[in-house]
Amino acid sequence: MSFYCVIKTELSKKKYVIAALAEMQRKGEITSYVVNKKKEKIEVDRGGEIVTVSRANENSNFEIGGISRPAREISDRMKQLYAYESIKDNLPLDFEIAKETEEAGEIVIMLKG
Amino acid sequence: MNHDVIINVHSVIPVSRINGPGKRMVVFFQGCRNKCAGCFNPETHPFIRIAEYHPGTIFTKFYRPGIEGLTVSGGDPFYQRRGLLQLLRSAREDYGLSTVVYTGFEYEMLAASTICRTIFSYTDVLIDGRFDETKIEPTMLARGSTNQRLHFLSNRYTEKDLVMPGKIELIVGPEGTITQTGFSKVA
Repeated sequence: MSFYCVIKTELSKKKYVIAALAEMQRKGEITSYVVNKKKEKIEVDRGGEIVTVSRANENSNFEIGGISRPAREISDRMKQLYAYESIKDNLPLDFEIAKETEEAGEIVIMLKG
Repeated sequence: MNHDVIINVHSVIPVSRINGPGKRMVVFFQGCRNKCAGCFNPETHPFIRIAEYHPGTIFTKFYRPGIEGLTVSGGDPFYQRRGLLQLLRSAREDYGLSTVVYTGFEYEMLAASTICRTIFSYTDVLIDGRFDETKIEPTMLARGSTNQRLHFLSNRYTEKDLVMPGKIELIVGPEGTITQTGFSKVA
């Protein structure tokens, strides 16, 4: 039998949130983002649609606010890229990425170990 | 289609690239009494209702065009033999899919049963035997431990087709959900 498990992504670490936003900007999926370090708040601009990524304190998860459609779309994509960045950053030493692809809305990572 | 057959399913991966040749839908059956030490999926052992589907419904709900085959894992699918047969028959006859089945039972024992022999007639590859954590498969062959045997029940595949492109597959869905599958696991 092969292994199976599912992990739901929570936006808990600021560095991966910012890494995800940076990747979205690099791919042209958002226009820009501005980090307010004091307020644990990030303002994201997608072609004039503004959403905010914020959390109450350092121990809580980030949440996305704003107009529902862009907020949901940006939130979903940000969670996906957050997961991707988190996986890459936390791979055990005995595993390495053999291949990674993006197709049909999914990011697929093959590991050799 | 025989609609009185229901399969208790633990989970389904619509497209996996590491559970047999090519892209495959993977259906994990719920329920197993083998209790292999170090089993990858202990949560699939209890015989409790998780998600019950008619075999045909599994395809209407999860099938994605372009896949090469169906892989059945678990749990152990041979605790739900009528459902397994219907699922494999539908995979082959209705969708033209190849079929790979994992079981902790041994082929010879199963082959004594008429329904299992019928199941084998709809199975391209059967991987049998209990998982043995002292014999972990070191290569990319699609099995957990080296004692497990690959039975090629049709001429569709050979052993090289069961050499996977990785040991673990991580599928990050559009909402950030990470599905992890394969023959090892990331802690």
